[in-house]
Order: sequence, then C-alpha cells, then structure tokens
Amino acid sequence: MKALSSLRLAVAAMAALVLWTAWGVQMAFSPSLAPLLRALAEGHLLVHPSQWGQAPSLGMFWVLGLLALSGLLALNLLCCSLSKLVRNWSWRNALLLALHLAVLLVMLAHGATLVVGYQRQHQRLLPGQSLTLPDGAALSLKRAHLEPQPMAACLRQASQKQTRRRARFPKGPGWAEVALSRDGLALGQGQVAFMQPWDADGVRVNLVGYFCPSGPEPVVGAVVNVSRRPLAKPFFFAYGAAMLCWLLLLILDLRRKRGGPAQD
Amino acid sequence: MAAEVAGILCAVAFGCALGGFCLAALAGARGLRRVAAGAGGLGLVGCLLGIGTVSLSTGRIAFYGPYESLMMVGLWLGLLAMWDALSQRLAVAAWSWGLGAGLMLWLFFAKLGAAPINLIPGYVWMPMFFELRLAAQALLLYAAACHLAAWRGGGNGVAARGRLALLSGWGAFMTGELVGAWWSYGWLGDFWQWNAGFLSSTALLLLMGLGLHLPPRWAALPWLRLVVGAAPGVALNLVVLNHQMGMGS
Repeated sequence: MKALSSLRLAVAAMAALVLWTAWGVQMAFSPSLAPLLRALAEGHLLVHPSQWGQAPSLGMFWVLGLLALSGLLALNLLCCSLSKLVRNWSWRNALLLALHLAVLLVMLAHGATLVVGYQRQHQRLLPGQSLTLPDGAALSLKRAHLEPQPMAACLRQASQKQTRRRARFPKGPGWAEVALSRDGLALGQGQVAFMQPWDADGVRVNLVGYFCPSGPEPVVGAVVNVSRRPLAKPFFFAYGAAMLCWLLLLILDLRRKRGGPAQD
Repeated sequence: MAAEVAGILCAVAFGCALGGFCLAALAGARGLRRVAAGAGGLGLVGCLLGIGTVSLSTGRIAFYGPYESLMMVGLWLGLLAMWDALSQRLAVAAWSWGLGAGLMLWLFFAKLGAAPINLIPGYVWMPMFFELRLAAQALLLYAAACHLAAWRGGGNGVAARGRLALLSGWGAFMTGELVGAWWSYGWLGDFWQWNAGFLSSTALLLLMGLGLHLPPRWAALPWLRLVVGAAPGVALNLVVLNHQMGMGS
C-alpha cells in the first residue's frame, strides 16, 4: 500500500505516460495506424479481442502499454488519496481529496469509452438510406437541405470532377432530417444542423458535412457522426467538480498568502 | 477599420510589444526598476493596441492565429511581470519580460494581423477554449520565469510562487480541455477524439502534473525543480505555436 501510494510512483507513472502519449502523437500521423485509432474511437477494439490480430502489432503494443500505465496511475491516485489525504482532516485536504477523486472519475470515464458505447464517424447517407448501428437500432436520413441551393450544385460539380481538394464547409444554413428506429418500431424523428445535434434513445447524431453523388439529378446527402456515450453526463459532472475543487483550492492558497501549497 | 490602417497599427503594436519587453528584460536584469517598469508598460500598450486593432477590424475578440494569440499571451505575461516589478520581485519580472520578448520573436515568421476564421454567432465554447489555452500559456510561462529566477538565487519563496503559477496554469489548461470536450461533444458527438491534438493535450497535462507532484526531497534539488517547473510552459507554447503557424501565417 505504501509503495502504491508513493509520490515517486506517481512521478514515474506520469513521466512514463508523458513519453508514451508523445509516442502516440507521432503514431497518430502514421496512415497505417489510422484504422487502429478509428477502432479505438468506435469502441469495438477491446470488446472484440479477435480483431487484435488484424491490428498492427506496434499499435497494439502502444494501446496495451497506454492502458497498463494509465491503470497504474489510477491505482496510485486512489491509494494516495485514501491513505494520505483522508488521514489528516482539514478543509484543504478534503478539497484535495475531492479533486483527486474527481480526476480519477474522469480517467475512468475516458477508459470506459473503450468498452461502453460506440461511435461511428463520417457516415454518408442519402435520403432514404439507413444505417444499422451496433446496438441494433437503425438511423435513416429522410432528407437534407442546404442553402443557398447553388452550393448543392457546387458540391455535385466537385464530386463529378473528383477533385482531391477538400470541399469547404458550406456557409449557408442547412439541416438534415433523420429518424431512428429499432425492429421496425419508430423511436423518434428530428432535425440536425451543424453544432446542433439530435438526441434520441441515448443515441446522438451530429451533422458534420454534406456530399453530392455523381448522377443526373442533384441530390444532397448528409455526412453524420453517430454515437452512444452513456457516460457523457457523469464525465462532464466529474470534470466540472474537479475544476470547482481546483478553483476553491487556489482561492484557499491565495488567501493564506503562503506563496503556494505544500508538495502534495 | 480600413485594412491598411489595421495592418499599420498591428505592425506598430508588434514593434512596441517586442521593443518594450526586450528593454524591460534588460533593465530588469540590471536592477533598473523604474526603467524596466516603463518599458514593460510600453510592451503592455503594444499588446493592447494589437488586440484592440484586431477586435475593431474583425468585430470579434482576439483569440485565433499567431498574431492575436501571442498578443494575448504577451498581455497576460506583461501584466504578471508588471505586478512583480511593482512588488519588488524584479528578477521574476525580468525573466517574464524576457520570455515574453522571446515569444514575440515568432511573429517575424507570421502574418501581422487577424487570422481568418468563420465563427458561429453565439457559439461561445470555441473562443472560450482558445482563450483558456492562452491564459494557460501565459501562466505556465510565468511559472517558468519564477523557476528560472529561483534557480538563479531567488530563493524558496519564488519557487513556491512558481508552483502556484503552475497550479493555476494546470487549472486554466484543464478548464480549457473541459470546454474543448464540450465543444467536441456538440460538434462531433464525442468528448474525446483519438488524434494527435487530444493526445498531445494529455501529454501536456501529465507534464504539468509531474511538476505538481515532486516528492519533497526531489523538489529540494534546484536543477530538477527548474526542469519540471519550466518544461510545461516551454512545451505548451511550442506545441501551440507549431499549430498556430499553420493557421494564420
């Protein structure tokens, strides 16, 4: 317990994680690892160990190392909080304890996204098309609307030319109407716009772009992100609580005029 | 405001900020408090002029691209340095002005003026994220200045001040991350993205955490205290500047 709660272990774990994440930053630019990062984001890499063999071995080594080091830091955080901060009661220690526990919850919420919930990024849907989600629900696009209309023609032209240039996000207002159903039973229907997501039955739909397939008739399709993050609210609550504790601690330290808190 | 007038004012502001901070750092290092405070004031006026020009010419607050960002960081850092100069902590002030001047040098490689950006009216999370990051940049650079002054003989009081600045910078950065997570959740549907930006933010947060958790025996080593106290400020500014140079240069 003493070794697990030591500051030396905390420093060692954090230093190792700094190097590990810096390595991860370098790897994030590598095209060969993009599918691995997408699998992590989509939340099915750790749920289906059968996929581990398909992932690049270096990437899997990095992911497992990240998990091991994060787990070690979380354990140290818990042990340190319980053994040192609980022992001596004071308002400052209580705030420090709350801050550490809130940060621990934030870490756990991050870790939980690897196994709980899912995300599907940049799904292209044309009106009438539907997408089956991992939990069995189906998302369909009723219609997409984009203003001004010439922008739709512009998108179509760009699509036909197959230009490599990334299309600029349309400035005009636009929206897409989507519907969610499960086993043929309608769960809801709503409108999404840029930065205005639609939530139904725990599923969040975000409009992130438009596209126009090549064809005789100009049809505007929507590019959407679909996610289910049941831990989003606890995550933001814990994060907010951590920041509140930090603010109170800072005020406490400034009022004491000690020039700074002790080494915690 | 006409674009040419704005361009001239931005260049004048840059000259005042860079010249003022350089002179203040040199005067501060030589113990000339009044000269240093005057020159530091000129640097502050330069930063305010730059920020005001950007705001008047674009109709929004300054927060985006290298010019606006560095002027904002310069303003916060200059204010902290001025506070120190007026409170008889000239060594810390001199290091702060010196780091501020070093930061301004980057603008020789960037466009002087506002960076183009499409803002969604009424959507506050994006500017708030950037403003909190800029505040964290300034606070962490100030922490680096305190640790440099402590290393050069400023004493434990200055080092403790550096630690408080590090704690403040950590909080500002982490609050920025919270705002960024909310922005990402509203924009892309998730509070975390597996990409280089989010991973580098995590590395920076951990680096700040390192400085806040040194065991007392290790914290007594001046060189180690300097390294862990100054590294977050230097690293954050390098990471952000590297990113910003691609936005508005």
